[in-house]
Amino acid sequence: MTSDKQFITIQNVEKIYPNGEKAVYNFNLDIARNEFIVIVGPSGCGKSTTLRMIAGLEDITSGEIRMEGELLNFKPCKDRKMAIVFQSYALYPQMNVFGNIAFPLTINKYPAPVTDETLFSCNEVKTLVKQSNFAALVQLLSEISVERGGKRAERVATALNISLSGAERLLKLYARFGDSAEQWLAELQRQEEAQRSANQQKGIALNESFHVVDAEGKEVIRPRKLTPFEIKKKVYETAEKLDLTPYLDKLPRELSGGQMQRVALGRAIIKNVPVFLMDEPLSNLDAKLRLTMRSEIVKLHNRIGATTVYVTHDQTEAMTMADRIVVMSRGFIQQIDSPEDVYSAPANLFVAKFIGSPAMNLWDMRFDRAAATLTCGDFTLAVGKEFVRRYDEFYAEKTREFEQICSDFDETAREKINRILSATGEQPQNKKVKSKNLLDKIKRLFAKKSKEPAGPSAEEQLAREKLDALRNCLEGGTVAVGIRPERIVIEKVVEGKNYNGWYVTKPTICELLGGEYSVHFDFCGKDTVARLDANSPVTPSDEIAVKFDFETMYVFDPITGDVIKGLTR
Amino acid sequence: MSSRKTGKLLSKSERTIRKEKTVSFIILFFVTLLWMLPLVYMVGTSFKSEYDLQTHPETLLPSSGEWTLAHYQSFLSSDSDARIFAWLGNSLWSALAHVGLTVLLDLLTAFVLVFLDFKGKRVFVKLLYLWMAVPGVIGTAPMFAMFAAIRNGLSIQSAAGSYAYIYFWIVVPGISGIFNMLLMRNFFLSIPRDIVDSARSDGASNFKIFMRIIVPLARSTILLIVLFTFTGAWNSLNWPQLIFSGETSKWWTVTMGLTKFTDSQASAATTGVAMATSVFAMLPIIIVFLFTQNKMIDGMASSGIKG
Repeated sequence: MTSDKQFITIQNVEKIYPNGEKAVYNFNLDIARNEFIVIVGPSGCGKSTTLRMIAGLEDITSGEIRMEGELLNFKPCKDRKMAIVFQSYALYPQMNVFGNIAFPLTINKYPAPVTDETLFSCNEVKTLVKQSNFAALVQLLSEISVERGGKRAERVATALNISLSGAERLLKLYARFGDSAEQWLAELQRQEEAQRSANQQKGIALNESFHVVDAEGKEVIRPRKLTPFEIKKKVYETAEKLDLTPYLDKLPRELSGGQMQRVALGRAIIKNVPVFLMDEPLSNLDAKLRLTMRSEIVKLHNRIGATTVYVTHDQTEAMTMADRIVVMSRGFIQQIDSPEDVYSAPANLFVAKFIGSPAMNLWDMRFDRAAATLTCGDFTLAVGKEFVRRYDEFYAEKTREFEQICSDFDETAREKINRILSATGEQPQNKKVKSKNLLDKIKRLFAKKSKEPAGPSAEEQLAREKLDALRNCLEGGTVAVGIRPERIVIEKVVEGKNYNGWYVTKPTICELLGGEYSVHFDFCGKDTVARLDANSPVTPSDEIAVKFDFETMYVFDPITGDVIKGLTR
Repeated sequence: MSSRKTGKLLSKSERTIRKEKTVSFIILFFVTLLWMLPLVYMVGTSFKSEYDLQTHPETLLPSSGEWTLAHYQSFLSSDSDARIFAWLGNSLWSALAHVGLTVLLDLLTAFVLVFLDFKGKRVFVKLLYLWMAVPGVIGTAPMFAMFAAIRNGLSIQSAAGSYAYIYFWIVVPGISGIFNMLLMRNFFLSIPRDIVDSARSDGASNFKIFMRIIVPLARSTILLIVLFTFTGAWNSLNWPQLIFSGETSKWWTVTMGLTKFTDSQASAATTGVAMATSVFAMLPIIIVFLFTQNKMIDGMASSGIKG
């Protein structure tokens, strides 16, 4: 039994490419029905690989992907009931827009009850003749009949909203009997009886909606291809939704980027599947169009009640569109949370740096445990007893953790180190770049293999270095201190006011963003950004006073990247 | 005059471009002339009278008033040896079969090599490249040995059987040209993977992807291969010469037939007929070229991919 919370479950999914490169580590995620999940991360972090694994375009090295409890690992992409929208749109260049949108319908079979077309259409026409205005009907038929071309039945069907075979029947009746309703009905009656007796002879049973039923009275369901008329109707409906009707005859190369994007969306919608996968669909659009399409996609998602997994490298897109954000870096999930929480409670240094625009201000500060202060040059910030306690706790725990890692350095430990490196942003140094030079290759071929046992791997060395660093931290050390730009209290220096405890400086750049200023100034050797209301104009020649409230600041451990202190609520 | 007038209005770079264009035009003109000479000589000579052929073999065109269709009439009404229509027919169907099979094989091979994953794929591609490095002539002797041995083994008696057997050997060995396969493969590699992935997620099987997406996209490459293989098959001489030795001349291809006029026994008397036959034999190639050349150029720009 799976609940709506576990519509799609991804468990321990890993991906190792044939060349040995590991792209995704231990990916776990439960996606709820109708949820909008955004996977965000810098390029090369494994987000697209994850999406392609969900879609079935990429093999899964280990782990499980399930949808409504059904294992998807070995199900081919074409049977997965998912629609994908690609960054490149991937429209079929030789087909026009109609052909592109209709493509999924033309190649798939859809289960449908087997219907007796003759009886169904006879009944349809009979009801029509009895219930609607017969004169108007005849008028319409006479107008369409005189037209040339083979699409007359389609036009009648569209005008009266009946099936194609019903429309054909109507046209035949009109051609044969003119405008005599009695004769029409008599003819229909005759045809119906003929079909009924034929059915009886063949032993076919029907229910009241003219669907073929089996011995137990259940409707017989068979997969069948959609008729061209049905496809046409659906394509027009979809095109209508996306404002594409005027472009149906055009080839993809004649469209603008936004239109191509909408065609790609149309092709996804028309499949009528519960899951949408989008791989950076807006990256190729210009800024303004991106904004409109962003809201279009969210609206679409809500309207059709889909479940969407959306991959992007743009954190703004992630923040604005997502129900939940998955932040990834170097194949590791860094954090899964709502946009609010990812922003206000980042789990580690990577998330803190990646989410938010402008980014969080981060400085390296010295923590003096005895004095309970953070210092940077002349600037001192008191932190309070509570933080000291938290600091001790944190480092004691981390030291224990690393002692364990170093005592028995195995594959899991290596992965842990890699995970930590992905959070701190350090580069793993074990990758010896093999030269592609032919001469070097030959040299390598003949080089003697070193007999001595391999020393500790680079990861193990790194782990030991980190353990030493952690031990040194127990008495205080360097920490990464951060604050969001809007949390910095800032004002223009007013003559005569006492700015004791404030940091007084001059801004380097003042960017007017409309309602507010983005004020840059140097603090702690780094460019720092703060927000200032545009009511008080500020220029680089003005003096500003800045106050940091420790309650609103974050403290991260630069060794492991983990958060020591988040916002105090 | 006019160009000199407008020349003053042009900027320096435009003048340079114009100069470059003029120079390249002149060079190309002379190269083309050089290439065209034998062709013009062939067409011209085919219309020369016997007298002209004897006295003025060096002129490109017949002397004025001396144009004649005699050579064409001679081979068209030919009773004995020159069976131009039989040869044309033989050449035509075998060349078409050759083209059809080659395109099919190339499309399938390239599709498998690019869009499907299987073990040993890279080795296979490397083997193909290696195979291309082997000159075709090397295969001739073993192939002929096989041709003869199998023929003896099958002990084909009937004329129809022999004809079918010989043409099997004319058509089939040639279809495995590696160059065309790799040409197609390179084109397939240029098709964005997203298109195929998208079709796959739309529910298309490999066969549907092949028929509905890939083949329509490959139209220009197909036409290129059609042009290459058709001319190749039409012009091939060595191999047919080898396996037609001792067969009735009715079964020959056009190129085989033409050698009748150009071998050691050919004389000035048959030069005119030889030229006329050559002109006739060239027509299909020219027609194929006219049909394929402009379609080859378009289509390459028809990618619906941005990014």
